[in-house]
Formats: sequence, structure tokens, C-alpha cells
Amino acid sequence: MGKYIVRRLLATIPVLIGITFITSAMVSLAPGDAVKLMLGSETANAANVERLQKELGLDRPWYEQYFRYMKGLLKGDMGRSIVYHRPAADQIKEKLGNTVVLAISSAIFALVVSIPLGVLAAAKRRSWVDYAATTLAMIGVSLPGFYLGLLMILLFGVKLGWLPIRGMGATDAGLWAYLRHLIMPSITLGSALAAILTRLTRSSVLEALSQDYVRTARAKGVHEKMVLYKHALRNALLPVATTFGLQFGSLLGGAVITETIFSWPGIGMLAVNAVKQRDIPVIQGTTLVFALSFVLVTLAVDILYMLIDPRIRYE
Amino acid sequence: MSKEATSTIRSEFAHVVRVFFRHKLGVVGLVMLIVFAGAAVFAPAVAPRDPYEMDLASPFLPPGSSGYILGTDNYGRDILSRLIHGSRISLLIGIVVVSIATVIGSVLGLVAGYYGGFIDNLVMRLVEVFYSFPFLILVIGVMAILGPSVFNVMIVLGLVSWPLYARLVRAQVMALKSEDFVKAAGALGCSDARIMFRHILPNVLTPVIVSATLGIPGAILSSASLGFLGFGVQPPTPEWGAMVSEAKDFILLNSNMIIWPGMCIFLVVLSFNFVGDALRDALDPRLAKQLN
Repeated sequence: MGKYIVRRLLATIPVLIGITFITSAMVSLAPGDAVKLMLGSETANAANVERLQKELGLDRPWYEQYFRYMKGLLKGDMGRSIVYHRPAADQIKEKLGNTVVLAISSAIFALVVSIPLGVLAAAKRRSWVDYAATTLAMIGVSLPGFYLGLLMILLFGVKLGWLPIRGMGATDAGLWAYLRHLIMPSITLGSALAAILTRLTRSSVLEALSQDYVRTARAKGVHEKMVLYKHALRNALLPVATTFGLQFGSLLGGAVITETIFSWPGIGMLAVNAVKQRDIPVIQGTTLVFALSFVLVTLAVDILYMLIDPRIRYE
Repeated sequence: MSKEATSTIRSEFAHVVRVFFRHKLGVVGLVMLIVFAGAAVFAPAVAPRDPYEMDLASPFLPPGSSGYILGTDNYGRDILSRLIHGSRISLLIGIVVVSIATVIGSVLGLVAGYYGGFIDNLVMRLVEVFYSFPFLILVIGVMAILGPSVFNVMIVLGLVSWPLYARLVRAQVMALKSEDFVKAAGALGCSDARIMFRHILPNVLTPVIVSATLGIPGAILSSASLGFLGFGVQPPTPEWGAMVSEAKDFILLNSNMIIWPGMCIFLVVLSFNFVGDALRDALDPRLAKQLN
């Protein structure tokens, strides 16, 4: 087991190198001149261009640029924001927590909705509950996140006035106000995941219900509820757990859109604004942080997965 | 081809069609797609007005106003005409993106699965790197650098979507590599390229077709999301995502502008998902598991 974990950790090294390589190359990949792009047309005179080029190390060969970038990264230095003139790492640190909160609450929303719904749909196969659940799941997969978010703003924010439509409220407004701000963004971000997990829970419970051990349990006269929850669900949850882990990372990507709609001050919004302002160090930094969190989450899921299911041994 | 072989192929095809049409939602999806495709192909003829024509005297008309079935937007442009022209862009992007991705993915997957060893390792590491970026973040980062346009949206989305197909094809090729017909082709002196493209490729096409069908709505959603964020197709081009993005500035004033373009994205994506599911059941029920 320890051997597997070590091997799994080693396997992430080339991935990390690849990621840093891509983020490092983002500056030099720009067609034309990234520096001129960053400066904008008014301030892009020769002196300014040369100064910024030196500051970013763009006058060096690419491998030197990469090592310089890596050396900075290992010291926690992601460069300075060109727009705000402060370390990109500081900006990211300030906002990362908000994105984590949003991702976790969306994940909780997805789990709380999808597992009971999926189990119910499987237990009452071909009933109206089943059709309602599968239809909802299909809608959830097909609905663009930004559309759902805007529709909810129209309904619950504008028309009914029940929920706040932007930001996270005043810092001293208390927990309840904070949670109220969190409701619509979490549903927006979590709905696609909820849909995927509902379909998966349904199909894997159905599969478990067709297994021999379920027939045996029924034949023994075990109560149907016990069969469902104790025998079928327990075995069905494993694929659900894996998919949940893998998809948790993609919540991070969706966060970009959700944060933009609801002005939620996380790193998704930071990334979007950085792109709009051509603030390349911040773009590099946010991309890197997103990719790193994604890799770490996947790694954690893989290891946890192996601990949960002793049958799994990756070769 | 002998007569017998032709008839087996024909009856297999008939079987696929039969299973597909048993799928009610698949048929519903197909019909909706035909409608959207018709709108896209015949857009200039079907659209009641010029999608770019502004009428600043009559902005925000409600649906059902005379001459404007779905009303007008903030510049007094006809929303319906813009939606009809928008279907061209969305469908084109979806199809081109998936074509780019399947071609790159299939070739890399074939080569990796067939040769194994170093090449396989290289391709799979590359796949992992791509998988380790949250998709949208990577796309936004690259779009930020290349600059927004329909062409760039297609290229970028295509270039980052191939790993799925590479993985799929590689797994299939590895399973097929030890089959007798492949060994026989090798023994007959076929070149590697011929074995890969003439003998192995046709046998792995089914899962590729199914996941490509299910990949189109993903590409449409991604391009709409890019348009919405302002990094994709730019206004005044009537791309649906960009239309929603323009509309969101008027959310307190007018909901009509948001509802229709969003609805179009939703319906197209839903239709492709219906058709993809039905196609999967029809072509190979075992696939349902592999693709999940």
C-alpha cells in the first residue's frame, strides 16, 4: 500500500512539470508581443517595452525563463500583478478561501440532492419518481450554468426578492446573511454535478439490486428497506464516490462562471478580471493554482479510493 | 464485397436504426436537431429580419409585438432573427471542435496503443497534463492570449478536447492488438500504418462516434460559456452565449433578452444528449459503462 502511494506521488511529478511548463510558457506563447499587449497601445513605447521585458525576464532564452519561473514559484513568488502592482500570490491567497467555500457548499448541495434522489429512483424503478428524477438529471446536465444562475436571479432575486443576487454580504452581517448569499451560487455550481451523480447513483443501485447477494438477502427474508440501504446502497456508493472525487475538481472550473454571475470574490473572478486586464502574472498564477488543486484533489481521491476498496490495486 | 456480407451490414444497420427509433427521447432529440440544423442552413431565408439591423426607436419590445415574434433587444434588433443566425455559429463550433478533437485523439490513441512503450508513455503523460487542468481555465487562459474570435474558439476547444478520444481509442487498440486478424495482417507484411488505419481503426470507430455525439453538446456549452464570459465570439455577432452576456446587463430591466438565447443553448444541448444516449444504446449497450 505504501509502495502504491509512493508510486502514485512520483507519477504526479511529470504532471506538475507539464503544468508549470504550460503556465510558464503562457507569456511567450502570445502572438505578437505579450508585453505590448500588457502595456496597451498608449504606453507601449520602446523604453517601456524594454523595461517590462527585462522585468519579466523575456529577453532570456526559454529554458532560463522556465528555471527563473520555477525558482520563484518554490519561494512562493508568482510574479507581480501588472495592474495592481502587488504580488499575484497575495491576491490569490486572499481569494482562494472564498472559492473553496463555494466549491464545498456546492458539493454538499450536489450530494444531498443526488444520492437520495438516485436511490429513490432506483428503488421505485419506472414509477413517476424515477421518471421525474431522470428528467431532472437530464435537464441538469444540459442546462448551461450561467443560464441557470441568471434564471434564479430573475426568479428569486428580482421577481420574488427572496435572495441577494451578488457578492457575499457585509463582513459583520452574521452567518445567516452569509449563507443566504451562498445559496444561489452553490445551486448554480452544484447542479451539473448533482445531475451526474443522480444518474450514476440510480444506475449503480439498480446494478447492485440485480446481484446475487441481494437475492440471497431477500430470500433470507431481510426487510426490503434493509436490503436497499445495507446491501445495495453500500456497494453502489463506490463508483459514486470515485466520480464525485473526479468531478470535484471540475467544480473549480465552473467556479469561474458562477463567481462572475454572482460577483463572488473568489479566484475564478480574479482569473476572469486578470484576463480582461491582460494581467499575465495573475493569469499564470490563477491557472497554476486551479491546476494544482485539481491534481491534489485527484491524488487524494485515488489514495482514499484504494483505502476504501481493498480490491483495487493500481499497477 | 460479397452479397452475403452486404446483407449482414444492411441488417445490422437496420437493427441500429430500429433500436434508435425505439428510444422516444432519441427521436425527439433528432427532430429538434433537424429543426435547428434547418434554421442554421437556411438562416438568411428563414429569419424574418437582418440580425444586425438596429432600430433604436423600439428597444426591449415584448414577444408578440408586431413584426417581432420574440421581441427586440437593447438595440431594437429582432431577437428571433439573431437566434436563427446564432444556430449557425453554435452548430458549426460544436461540429468543428469535435472533428478536430476526434482526429487528433484517434491518431494519438492509435499510435500510443499500437506501439506502446515510450511513445505510449509520452502520449499518456500528455493526456494527464491536459486532464489536470480544469478545462475551462485552460481554455480561458489560452483564449486570453490568442484573442477572441470564432476561429480561435474552435481551434482552442478542439486542441484541448482530444485527450478523451485518445484515451478511449488507446484502450480499444490495446485490446485489439493481440487479436488474430491484426496478427494476420502483420504476417501478410502490411505496414504499421496500414494495420493501424485499415484494420484496427474501423473496429474502434463505434465508441468514437458515440462519444463524439456526446462531445458536441459539451463543445457547444463551452463555447457558449466563453461567449458569456466575453472571451469567445464577440458581439455584435449573434452567438447565443454572447447574447446572454449582453442581456445580463439589463437583467433588472428586461428578462426577455436572457430567456430566449439561453433556452436555445439548453434545447440544442439537450437534443444532442438525447440523440447521443439513443445512439449509444443502439450501437453498443456495453459502451454505456465504458464511457461513464
